Amino acid sequence: MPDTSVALNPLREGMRIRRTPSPCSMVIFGASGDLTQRKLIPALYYLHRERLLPQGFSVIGCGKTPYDNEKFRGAMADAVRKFSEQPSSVDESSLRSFTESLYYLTDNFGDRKAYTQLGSLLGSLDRERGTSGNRLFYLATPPSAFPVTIGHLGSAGLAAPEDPGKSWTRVVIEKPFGHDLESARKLTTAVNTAFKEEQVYRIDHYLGKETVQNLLVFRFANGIFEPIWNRRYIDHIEITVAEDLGVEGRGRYYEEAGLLRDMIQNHVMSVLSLVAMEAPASFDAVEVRDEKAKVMRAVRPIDLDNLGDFVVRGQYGEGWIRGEKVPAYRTEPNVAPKSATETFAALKLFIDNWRWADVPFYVRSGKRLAKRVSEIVVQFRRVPHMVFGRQTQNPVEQNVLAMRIQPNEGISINFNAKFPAPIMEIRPVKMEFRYAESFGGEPPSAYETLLLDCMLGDQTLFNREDAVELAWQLLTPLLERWKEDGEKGIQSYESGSWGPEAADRLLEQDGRRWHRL
Amino acid sequence: MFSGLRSKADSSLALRDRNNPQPGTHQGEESLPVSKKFKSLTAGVLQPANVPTLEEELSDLWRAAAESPRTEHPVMRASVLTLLAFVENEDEGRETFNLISHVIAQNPCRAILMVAEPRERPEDLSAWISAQCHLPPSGARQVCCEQIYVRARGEAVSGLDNVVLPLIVPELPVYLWWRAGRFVPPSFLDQVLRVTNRVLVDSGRFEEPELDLAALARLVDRFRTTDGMAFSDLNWARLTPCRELIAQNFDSDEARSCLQDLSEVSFEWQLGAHDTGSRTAHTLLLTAWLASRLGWRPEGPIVPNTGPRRVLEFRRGDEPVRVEWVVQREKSKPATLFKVNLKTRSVPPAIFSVTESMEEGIVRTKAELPGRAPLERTARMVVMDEVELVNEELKFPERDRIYEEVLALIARTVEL
Repeated sequence: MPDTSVALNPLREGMRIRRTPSPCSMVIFGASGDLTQRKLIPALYYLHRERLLPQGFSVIGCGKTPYDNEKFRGAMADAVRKFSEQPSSVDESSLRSFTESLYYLTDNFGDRKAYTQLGSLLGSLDRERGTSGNRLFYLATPPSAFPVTIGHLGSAGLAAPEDPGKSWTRVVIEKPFGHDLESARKLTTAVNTAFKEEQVYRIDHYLGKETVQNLLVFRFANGIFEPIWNRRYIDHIEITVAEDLGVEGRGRYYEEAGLLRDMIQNHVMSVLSLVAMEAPASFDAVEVRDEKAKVMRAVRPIDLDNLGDFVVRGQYGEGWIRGEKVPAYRTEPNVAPKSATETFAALKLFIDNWRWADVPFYVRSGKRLAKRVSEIVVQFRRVPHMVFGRQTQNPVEQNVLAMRIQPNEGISINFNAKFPAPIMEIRPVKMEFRYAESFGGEPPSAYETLLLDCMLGDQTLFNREDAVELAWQLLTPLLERWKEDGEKGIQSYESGSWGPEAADRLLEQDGRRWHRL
Repeated sequence: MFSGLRSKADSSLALRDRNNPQPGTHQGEESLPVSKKFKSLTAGVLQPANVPTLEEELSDLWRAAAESPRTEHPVMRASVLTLLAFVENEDEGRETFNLISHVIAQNPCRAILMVAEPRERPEDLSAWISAQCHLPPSGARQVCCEQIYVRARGEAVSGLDNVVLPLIVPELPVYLWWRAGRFVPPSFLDQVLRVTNRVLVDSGRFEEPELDLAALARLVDRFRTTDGMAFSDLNWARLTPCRELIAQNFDSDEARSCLQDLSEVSFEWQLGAHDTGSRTAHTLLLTAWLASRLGWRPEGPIVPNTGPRRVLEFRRGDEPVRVEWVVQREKSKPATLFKVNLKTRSVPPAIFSVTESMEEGIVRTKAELPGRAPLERTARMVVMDEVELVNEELKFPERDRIYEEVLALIARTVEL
């Protein structure tokens, strides 16, 4: 339920855009870890600097690393200076003021006793800093620790709001939400024993990106696109999430995860659901997430009997990226020499509903590809009859709408125009909109947006349990099949390329080709 | 509106220093030193303001910009609104022209600067066009926006609207940036005001804030009811961070209950190098904001300040609320730039303060509730310049009802 306590403050009325949550404490489990230092603390600092955090806001870092408050504050100040997207914009006075709101508890949080101490500290912050019993628990630990932490929060009485109706308690869970359908369901069960779904925020930072949010604005705030957003006018849709980086020292994690779990199950499926969902009645968490789940339910199961027609699995070999030679995946540290883990996947998916029947959704994602780019391409159907067939020799291109998620976020539309000449020559031209050029300024980071949403109680950009399970339901049979197949069927591709040739054939067999990125 | 541009090169393309635009100079002028971020392209001279000719010149300018051998980056023409600016003399015109160059880097638009000099002779209605380009990093496209300078002298001011109206970009919002002293629109702008969605004024430039704000309140009321127009005050926008910080003090349940018990409020500011000359207007707006939000009834008129201290009396129900304005004239030891202190009548009282520190751009807040350790914090307080304020205001097309209420309360107070 969205936070309304701030709305009771008459001085808040009419205040533009500045969304400030009611006073609260945030507890970070895994506070000395990478995610906390690289993402969470810098994002919180920027929110503090921009006066978007409430008066009395406090952070309690929890971990095994033996820090005291002062050491933790020093380490987090260093993290802000080191990992800020714009280190030059770090202001020491406000940084000092921010770190004064940080506290640390050293303990084994796998042990129930640690939570008594945590409860006491939260209580004293409520009294001293006016945080009013509002608590946000952030699980930034390895996923294996999630169920234990959640269980202890529940049994220690910290999961339920202190004063129901007045104060709130929420929990933020980082991806991955399980590693297959069964584990996702187990995690859901563990979460549900302590928290209600309205308290749970499954975070996928991809959904905090401005351009991903703009997908909904583009579709539902413009009258001209939605009427043609269906099988009658659209030939197919491509979703590409490409990285030029390799596993970057995360070989051990990647060997267990693989590309499908790391990117497709969450980021790509989230984007797919936003592209394909029906219009919600309002931009409200329940409405939006209902529609996302509905479209996920309509995704046709992958045909495992004809896998080659629908799926390509790849793994990068050596090659060149940005002028430097890079190693093959199998020679990366902590990667098995005969690893069968995929670093690339391309899928042809169908959504069996009235809007999308027979429209293929080609999705691909991979590491060590030609460049870092995420884009959604909507290719429209050809005109039903080519009236210029006799006058022009050139094939007339189909209209394409491209939505670039990163980098150079924006939207472009290709259409055909007559080339200025005495003869009928038709050429494609491009009309383009780019965020940076039209609006200027730096958008907030995804974590800033999402952390603020958690504190404000807005779940719109977070995954609900049904969407998570539906994505696993779709992909788990494929993962099991790949496990059975081992190395069989995995295609090697050169680093710096656009993936295995089989990915091109996936579209060629349908008389199509990937849009050039 | 966006469009790519391609055409043959045009040797008339000239580059100008964005800090030294010279309306009225000649075509084909040599390049002048340009800023690292902007360049100005011009295709015209100050000449009779004939709309079809201006449109034609704009087209020529874009063709030239797109294919000039001196254009390193591909050019994109962009516009998300029409920005009209109104000034009353050429000096202000030149200054405003420069400011608009900065504004369009953030808000791509067609900008039309109106310079009206009804007392000047000879009678004349001239215009000049240019394109301001925001230079991107290497390889990216440069975004260019049009600036049209229209100067009217003598009786010709009555034809100003006939030039401006056809040049407004269809289907996009129209903002009018009023850079003349008081907001007293002359009748020759009636047609322009009819198509304007939002007017931007700066009450910080008002000479007698109480009287000028009250007059603005009446005009706002008239235009709002007759034309559905929205108003922005850059001076009110300057107060947004301060208002946010005051409001944040009262977000917790316990602190919020203190709002109804406030009995003393003081505003303290220092005359000095950092004084923008608009602190009186600031304080007046802040006082009226607190009064209108918290239901305080003014007990007497607000009179022009003649000394360093002024006391205003309000009532909430039967309880008095005292607001004090204190001007520190000491310049040698400046302790604070601006300080707001709010105190409850309870014993011991709860005290809340927001203090702009001399350490530039820093603001400290402090909340002292009985029986609790004081809560202090420091946040960034960016002092926005005029261009940044305009950019901020251009993001908001809708009416600011809270500001309208504040103006209405000031008008009532002045009339007491």
